[in-house]
Amino acid sequence: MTVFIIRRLMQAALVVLVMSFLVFSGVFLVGDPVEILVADDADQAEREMVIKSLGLDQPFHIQYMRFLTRAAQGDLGESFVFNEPALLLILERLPATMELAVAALMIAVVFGIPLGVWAGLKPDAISSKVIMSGSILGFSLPTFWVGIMMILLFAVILGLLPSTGRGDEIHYVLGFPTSLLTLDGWSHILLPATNLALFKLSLVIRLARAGTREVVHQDYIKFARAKGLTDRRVILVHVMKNILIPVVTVLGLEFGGLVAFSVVTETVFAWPGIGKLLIDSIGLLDRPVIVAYLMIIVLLFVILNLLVDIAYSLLDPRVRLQDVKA
Amino acid sequence: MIHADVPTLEVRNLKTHFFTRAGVVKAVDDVSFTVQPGQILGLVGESGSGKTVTGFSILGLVDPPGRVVDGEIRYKGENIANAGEERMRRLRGNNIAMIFQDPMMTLNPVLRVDTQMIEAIQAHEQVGREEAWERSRAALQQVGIPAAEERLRSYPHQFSGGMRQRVAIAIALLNKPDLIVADEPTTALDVTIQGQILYEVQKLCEETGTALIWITHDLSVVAGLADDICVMYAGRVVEHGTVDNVLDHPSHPYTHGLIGSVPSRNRRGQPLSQIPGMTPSLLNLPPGCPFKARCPRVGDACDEAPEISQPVAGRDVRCHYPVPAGETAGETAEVPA
Amino acid sequence: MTAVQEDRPAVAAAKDAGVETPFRRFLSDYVESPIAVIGAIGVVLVLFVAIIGPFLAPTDPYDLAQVSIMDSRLAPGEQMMTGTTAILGTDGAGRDLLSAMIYGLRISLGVGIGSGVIALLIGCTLGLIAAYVGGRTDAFIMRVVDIQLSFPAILIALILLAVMKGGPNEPSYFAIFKIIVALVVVQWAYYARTIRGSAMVERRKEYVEAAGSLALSNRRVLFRHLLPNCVAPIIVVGTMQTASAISLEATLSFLGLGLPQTEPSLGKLISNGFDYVMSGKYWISVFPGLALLFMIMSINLVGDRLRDVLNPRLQK
Repeated sequence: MTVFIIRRLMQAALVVLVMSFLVFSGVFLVGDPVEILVADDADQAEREMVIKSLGLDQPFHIQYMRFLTRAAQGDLGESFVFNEPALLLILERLPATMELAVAALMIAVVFGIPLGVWAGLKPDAISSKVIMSGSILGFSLPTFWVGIMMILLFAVILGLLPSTGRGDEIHYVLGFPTSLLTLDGWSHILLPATNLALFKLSLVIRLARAGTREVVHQDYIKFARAKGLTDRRVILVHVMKNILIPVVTVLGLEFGGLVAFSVVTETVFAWPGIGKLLIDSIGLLDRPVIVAYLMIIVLLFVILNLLVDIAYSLLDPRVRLQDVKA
Repeated sequence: MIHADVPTLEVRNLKTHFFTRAGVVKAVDDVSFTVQPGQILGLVGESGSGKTVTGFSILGLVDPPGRVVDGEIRYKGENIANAGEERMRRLRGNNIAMIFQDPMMTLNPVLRVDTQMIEAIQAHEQVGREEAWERSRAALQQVGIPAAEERLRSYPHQFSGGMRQRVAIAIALLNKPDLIVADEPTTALDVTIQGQILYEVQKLCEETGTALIWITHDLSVVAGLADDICVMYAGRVVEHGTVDNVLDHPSHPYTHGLIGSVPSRNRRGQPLSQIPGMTPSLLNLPPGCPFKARCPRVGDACDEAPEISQPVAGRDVRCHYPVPAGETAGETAEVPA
Repeated sequence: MTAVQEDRPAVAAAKDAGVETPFRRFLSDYVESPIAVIGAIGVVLVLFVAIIGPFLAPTDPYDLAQVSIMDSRLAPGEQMMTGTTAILGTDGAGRDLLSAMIYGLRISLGVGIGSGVIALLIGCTLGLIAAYVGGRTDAFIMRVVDIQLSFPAILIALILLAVMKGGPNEPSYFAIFKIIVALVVVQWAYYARTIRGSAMVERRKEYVEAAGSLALSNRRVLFRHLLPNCVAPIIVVGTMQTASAISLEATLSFLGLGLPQTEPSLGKLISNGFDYVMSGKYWISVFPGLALLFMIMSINLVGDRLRDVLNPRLQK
């Protein structure tokens, strides 16, 4: 297991390095930030001073090497707009996004697995057909539009829930800021988390259903029933443990997608996370923040991949054995 | 508990049909037999003859679109053919156990062996984990698995096929059932392993007085193991009697042909006889005897489905033109014992 | 979705002949799900509206002579300055919403299908090459596919559009070109992976070996033998991808990175309406959203059914 993790960590480091090059060279091409930062009436000398102070006059490979050495020390440059370290800007807003993504994932799992298993156990029931049609609806609904409709219904018409922000009362748990300790915080996160969850909910339903349909026809399920186990135990232990393998794998990988897709939800609900920061930064061509965002996302994906592999080997004993041999 | 006059299992005119989109498949169509305590019944037939569905019907494990449409399944006198789900659950694994064909598929790959054994005990009895574990260990030893303690903590993929089937047998024996339905449990195994398992099952049934229904397509297995034999064809029992009797003097042309097609050392070098044609599709079976298209003794009466008759005492045969008693199978075939 | 149209005459022919052709079997399987039939009707309807759109729309949203700021945010059913009744109201710029939606539907569908077709051509070519050439070429193409697919589509599209971001005075055809490029880059990998997967399976089959032993040219084996057998999965992936491309385009337009302000794309209309939702002027966001949902849902229903019907593993 340790060998496995070390090997995977080395692979991960390589991926991060390659991605850093791609990200940097990609963003290097983003339009000229000087246009935005320098006043229209500035003269040539002022412009050159700004360019020099930002290091934009250096050739590409020098800029990249400097970026890399600094990145290794945790310095991803300073925001052109905020005059703050880009990494700090990201890290300040990361907890809000994480909170949102985790809440969305919870909603997707808590509702998706039971609904999917049900639809898989009774594929011909009306209720299952409703669930499956609902999941296609979930795939089809454009997230941003659903968000607007939620605001219209719950905030404007019914006046039940707030439509923007994450509430004022931020508390710290183990050093992480969270708004989930107060009812106000929950009322703020309910709409955006549901909004963000819809797509993944549909995905979980489909995965759980497909897994269930495949597993229930296996001999070992019939054998479990032949042992006189209750349906409850057959479903909760024998079926569930088998379908959890694909569901956990896909969900682990999809968590990164949730974080990326929170760009949309955060924009709609004015959620103060990294997604909104990214959209603002793209609008302002704030290059270091875009680069920092992408580096953090790449890192997140690599870590998630690793965690998924570990979870996978814990869930599926066959994988564990192969690894011991390797 | 065991009364000599009440059979462990009595199946009367069982009909299990599958209502598919394409039509009704009469997988089991009028099957009757009786199993006494401690007795071994061999249920023989080609694949698709309905023998496995018969086994599932007994345990109430027929999945939709199939269901038992008619007949009685009497377990110690109680008709369980349409018993409630909870009643069946209590019987399954406790009074009636089942062993499946493919040992590679019957154990859940993601659960440890001890989990799968302990749950089988705790489904029927209020016992602690410790005690259930101890009983599981004893059961593994009973079926000849060495280092049972270590094996209990393993996952199914760490066992060979033969070992897995032993585990499945141990699970079937855990609650000391009165009846075990074994669905071709040795077909997927090597011949040597097959022999060992046959021997041990026979021994265990003798020791515990468990009745056994051994489903197989292999006549030679039944010849060495069973007391009674029940030959199925196209969902129906075509011949039923004691093993010695049926194998020495088959009355039904199908049984006759089946015995003739078994290779035997007595007939080295001679061509094997075979039954011409193929098993008919059970979907929309034409009227009349289902075997008539392949039968060497076919006659005018065969356009009408034959009923069970008893041309010889102690023998049920479903044929209009049974093979006369004098014309033994021995002249063309000798089944190895 | 194009399949639905082309298939019409074939249906009639099969019916006349009264024989069980594979296509007829496919059709009878398909219509077994009533909801999928509704989806197919929806797709036909959307295509119909998109094609004859300019004749249906009460006004021309591009014609500045017809658009007056005085008409802005009229509620559904009110009359505009020109005398036309705005059935679904008007948007913030004073355009008749129904007309803007019809034009927006054309743009969304056009961008979705256009990018899908280009991505399909590129993806299929690379996928077939990977499957047929094998070795290092295969490893390289598929590694690129894997890496790309491990990142969410929206992230890749966002970065590409950020990289290509131009000034405010950029011509609108250039903006459309850029978003098509972004959508193609996002989609091609799905096609490449799909076709390589099916081609690898087909390659091992005997008829390809037979074709090879007949010394048929590589190109002939590729396009006459391998490609036709990969059609079913491509159709399924194609419908699903078109739906998600349309959704992605709307999302990007909503985020301000898609089509320019002047184009009445559905995403842009919803985005404009978002500004007025708080004041209760719901229609500007609601109706374009419903149109978008209807379009995506119809395509997805068709795709979902096609996957079930065309999947050989599920065929009984």
